[in-house]
Amino acid sequence: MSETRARIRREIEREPGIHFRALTRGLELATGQVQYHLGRIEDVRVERVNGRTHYYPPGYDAWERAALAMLRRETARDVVAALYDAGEARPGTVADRVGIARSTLEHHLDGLVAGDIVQKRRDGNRVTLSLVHPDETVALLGTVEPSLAERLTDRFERLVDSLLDPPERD
Amino acid sequence: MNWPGHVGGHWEALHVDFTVVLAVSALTTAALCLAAVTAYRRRGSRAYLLVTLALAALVAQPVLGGLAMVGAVSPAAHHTLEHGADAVIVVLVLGAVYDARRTNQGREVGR
Repeated sequence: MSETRARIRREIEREPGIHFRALTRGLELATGQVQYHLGRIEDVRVERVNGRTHYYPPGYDAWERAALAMLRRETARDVVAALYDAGEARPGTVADRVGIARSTLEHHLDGLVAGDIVQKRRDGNRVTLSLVHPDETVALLGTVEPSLAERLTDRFERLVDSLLDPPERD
Repeated sequence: MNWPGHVGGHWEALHVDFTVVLAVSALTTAALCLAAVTAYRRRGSRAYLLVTLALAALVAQPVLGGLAMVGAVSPAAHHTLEHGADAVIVVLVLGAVYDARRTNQGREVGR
């Protein structure tokens, strides 16, 4: 294996679920170079989550791979932590505890529910949220850490949503 | 009393202080604009598009300043474009604020 290929492999091992752009940026390699080597590393798994391509070392099942991609988002992590503490909670309570607008929460819930991390239970008009696999999800939180750029984007979304959203009424 | 028209150092024809201010402003605004572009790609709403375009207009200002400094844009044209960018930013932010109501109406129906 070439030195570049080994470096790419190590970076994926260190950051499971790293996405393509972060990989090229972190290693200071050209896009084409990374593409070339990724095509030749056989045991790396590829997952497309929300239109972004994520790379994983072997050893993570499909649920873990989707969860790792989701848990790179700072706000999604806050939502998961709030739900872990509460056990189950109504969306309005979660939004209050995390300090986000309802639209920010709904945006993150779309991904978290699709990834089978959070479940929505409907009781007539009432919706209750809880974690599908609380302990496994919290264990994965420690595996990934959002980058500065990812934190900046999440906080930008929080700010814009809270400026443009009307106050919550439920 | 006479105030100096210009403060700071020069390096040959280059205004060092002004260049530093422009570079810092261009880099930080570009970082903010990049966060906005990523957020817009995730959310896809018109309000996000308008805020992103407003930040893009904000990036244009230090770029224009740089072009004026090296003489690629005349001082008069720079002045007009600078205030033009201000007007564009205000209109776009106003549009995003106005759009917020419509976005929320749509969401309420679905709830």
